[in-house]
Amino acid sequence: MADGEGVLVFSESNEIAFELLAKGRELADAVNGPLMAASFGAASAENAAKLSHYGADKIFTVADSKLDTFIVENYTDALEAVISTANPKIVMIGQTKQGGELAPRLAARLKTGCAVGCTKFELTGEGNLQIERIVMGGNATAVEVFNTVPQVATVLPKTFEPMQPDESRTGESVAVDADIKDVAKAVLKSETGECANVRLEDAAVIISGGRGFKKKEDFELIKGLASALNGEMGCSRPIAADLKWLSEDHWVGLSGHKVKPKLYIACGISGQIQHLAGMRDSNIIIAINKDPDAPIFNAVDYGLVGDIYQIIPKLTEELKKG
Amino acid sequence: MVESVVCLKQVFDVSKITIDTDTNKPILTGVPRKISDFDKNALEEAVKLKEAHGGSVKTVTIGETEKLTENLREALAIGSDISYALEDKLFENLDSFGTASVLAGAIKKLEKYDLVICGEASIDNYAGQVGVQLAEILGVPVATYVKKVTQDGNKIKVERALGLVTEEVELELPAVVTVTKEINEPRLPNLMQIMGASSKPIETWSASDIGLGEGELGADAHKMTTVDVKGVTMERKRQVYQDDDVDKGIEEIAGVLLKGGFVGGA
Repeated sequence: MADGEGVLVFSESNEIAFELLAKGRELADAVNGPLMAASFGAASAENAAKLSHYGADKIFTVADSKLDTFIVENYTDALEAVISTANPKIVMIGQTKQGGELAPRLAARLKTGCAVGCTKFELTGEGNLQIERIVMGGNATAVEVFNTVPQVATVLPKTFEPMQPDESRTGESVAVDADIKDVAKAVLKSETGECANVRLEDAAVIISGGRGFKKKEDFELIKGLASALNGEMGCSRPIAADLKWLSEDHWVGLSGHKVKPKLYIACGISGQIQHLAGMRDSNIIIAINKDPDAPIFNAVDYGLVGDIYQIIPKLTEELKKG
Repeated sequence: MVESVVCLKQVFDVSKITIDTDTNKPILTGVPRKISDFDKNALEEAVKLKEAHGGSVKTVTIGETEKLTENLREALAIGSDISYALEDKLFENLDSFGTASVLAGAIKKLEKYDLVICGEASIDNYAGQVGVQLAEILGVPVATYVKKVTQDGNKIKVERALGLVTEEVELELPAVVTVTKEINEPRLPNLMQIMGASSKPIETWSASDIGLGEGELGADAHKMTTVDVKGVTMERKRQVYQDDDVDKGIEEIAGVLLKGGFVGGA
């Protein structure tokens, strides 16, 4: 195994990169290596300063204009070039849709291991990365250890708290020349959909609705209950991805947002394994569903079997009575 | 004409997995196996492309032919022309790179392919690595989270669902796409199709058939090793009220929430 040194952090989102730097600092210190970051495209010079404020010792930038848009093949070329200069042992990448594409492609390029959506990071006695991640649809946690270098792992947003930024910190900035190859692919259009600016990952109370609702307007019921509990509105996959009754930032589940509020109420949601895996870490879970055999009832503290159209107003009323 | 290859993963039905409370390990014995959910969307899309433009649909799956047969017959009934079962001792306990290497080896052995279609991720591991790694190994472009595919000569145009952003991307073939659940509604084969499937071929390929061996796939070549799998149990009260108890339940739940400080305040 070729030796690498230290930790390299990358996310196309600065916010997530800052979170990774916090954990990266710990790991880098544990292996007595540098904490490094990479930033690509037009904003990379500006980002370099910010990344240093959040803890990076060394920032590798690739300013090629081909990197102004995220194209996984191009970003793989850029990150490969950075890695051959930086020679990190561990590469941490933010688990966004983009990062989830970049990490495996990079790992395949380097013929090295890759683990996505890691929830725990440790070092073995030999200083190799050992991670944990959810498998079997949320029924189990796998503990996996890397046998190759670099050790590529992705981290879900909000897994780690960023450090306090310190503007007096200055990291060394290194411009890297990367050979960004042409790719038989072009992004024709990119449209940002409606967004309610909800941050479910931060919410203390989430009231979610699913396919039990007959029409979009009926989500007023969810809104009413959410308002009584100072909660945010959430939903299951079909509501956001298929019917588009609520914007994507409301989507709770493995491919939506993974949440852990103090209170989660699922209304008219049957409890597909992917939904459960997205909310199972909630403190208290309550479900309302007409089907007593719905899998959601295996995952609840309290359940009410019946018509959401009758039960939600009653519960809301009861809460308002105080 | 589109020559499509669909990668199907056989998974345990994760909704039927239980945890052994003594050993804290998941119990897999007796758990039925099925084609991973989004892979069915991948297959459906390939069949639709064939119906619209002609061409062919092949499927590739890693596993033991015997245990795969029922699921592969289902794929053939849905519209695959031929299914390849990739079976070898060396294919057991592969990490994602190993899996992608095996699938890529099989795809390279096929005479021609235009489009490889995978599900966005598997229902069990939900990692979404294999499609992307397959593209890297095959040296072709990839588009993940595709919710719409339109073919235009030797190019495809796809719509990608990237959270709040929808991206429209054009790819030259050959290419790999991974598709979401929303892209289509997988069909249920009818009786005629189910009967017709029995005459379609299932072919088994070993590691040496696809030019791979101990050097690429043996334990020493594994990039990652799973050292433990721990069952996750949910400690929940599971107090469920039904029928005449529902009104009492509403009161009690309201009481819990009031006591918990969830009502009022900021």
